[in-house]
Amino acid sequence: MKLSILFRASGRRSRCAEGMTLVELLVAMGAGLIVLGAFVGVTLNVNTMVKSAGNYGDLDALSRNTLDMMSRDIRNASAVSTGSTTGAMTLTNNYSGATTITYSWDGSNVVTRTYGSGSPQMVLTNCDYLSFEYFMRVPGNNLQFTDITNAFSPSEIKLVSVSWRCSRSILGAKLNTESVQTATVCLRN
Amino acid sequence: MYTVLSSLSKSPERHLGCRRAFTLVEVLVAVGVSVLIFGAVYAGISNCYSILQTSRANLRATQIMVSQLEGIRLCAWGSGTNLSQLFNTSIVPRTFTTYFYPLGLNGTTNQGITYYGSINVNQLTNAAMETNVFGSSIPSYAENMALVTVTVTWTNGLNGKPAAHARHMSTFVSEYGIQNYVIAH
Repeated sequence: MKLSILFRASGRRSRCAEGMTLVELLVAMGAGLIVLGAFVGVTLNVNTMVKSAGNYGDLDALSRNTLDMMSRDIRNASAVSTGSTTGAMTLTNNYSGATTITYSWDGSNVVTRTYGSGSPQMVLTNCDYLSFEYFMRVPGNNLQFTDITNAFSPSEIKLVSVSWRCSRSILGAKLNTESVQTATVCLRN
Repeated sequence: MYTVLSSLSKSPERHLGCRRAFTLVEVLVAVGVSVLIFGAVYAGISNCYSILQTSRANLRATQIMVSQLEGIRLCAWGSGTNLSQLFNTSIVPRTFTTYFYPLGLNGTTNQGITYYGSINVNQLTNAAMETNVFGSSIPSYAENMALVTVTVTWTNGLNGKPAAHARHMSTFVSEYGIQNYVIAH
């Protein structure tokens, strides 16, 4: 009795239980794929942006701190006693107990600062480029100074130019994560 | 049993577990809301990213200006033809061009943003200039000073729209300053 009533009452039951047609399924899958693709794309993009912003902040803090320290050391120095383009630079300060300060790059990653005979302190990581250039004091045209990097002469160096770049990879690409620092600093003594 | 019949007559489909799909209007409204939310989040983060790029460009501009001012510290004041370096426009150019990436840092093909700079060296030689700098109490050594201003301008895009930026930095240079290492030529 109950069953017969149910069947009569739900004349559309069989239609409700029908699945989707192939066309409906394909359209739904297509739409779903588009929405999912857009979602994944946006998520990856946002992920890259957030990571690169974080990385940049991280690298920039270290780089600026190092640049401040290096600028101060160069300004206080009385001479650059030894130096190479990409290896190390040793500063001498005759007014502070003949102290030497050495900045050294390992060629691929780490920059260290050694004060006197102390142990090297790491000041930069993820440094994939570093360059020192040394100039004489006499200015030429267009505020260019005579470059004596290749003919190193400690007593003639009055201006030191330093550039470096720290970078990290995001999803395999070094995209906007680098922190570039450059400075031209004049020895004040 | 009457109860069952009654409920069936009202909504037999729900009772049997057959659910209706969303209507087109519901779907459109839901999609619209989702697009709005995602769009807002994406635009917000994208904007933050652009600001980050702008701050990088700003930092580099500062480095360029400081670098120029360091060079000026090595220029002799002088008044003779061969002595005056600070006021010699060949030595201290009035305009210069430089790039985001210093030479060699990012290859030679992509040097990044172009910075256009200018350097103004103004000796404080007249009353108007002195008043601008010192106000009403002008010191006796005013004319032995020069105001050097380095200005850098560049253009970069914020959310795809080009935007012009400018920064300047000023310093004083004194004729009888503390520098004892300047060599005139």
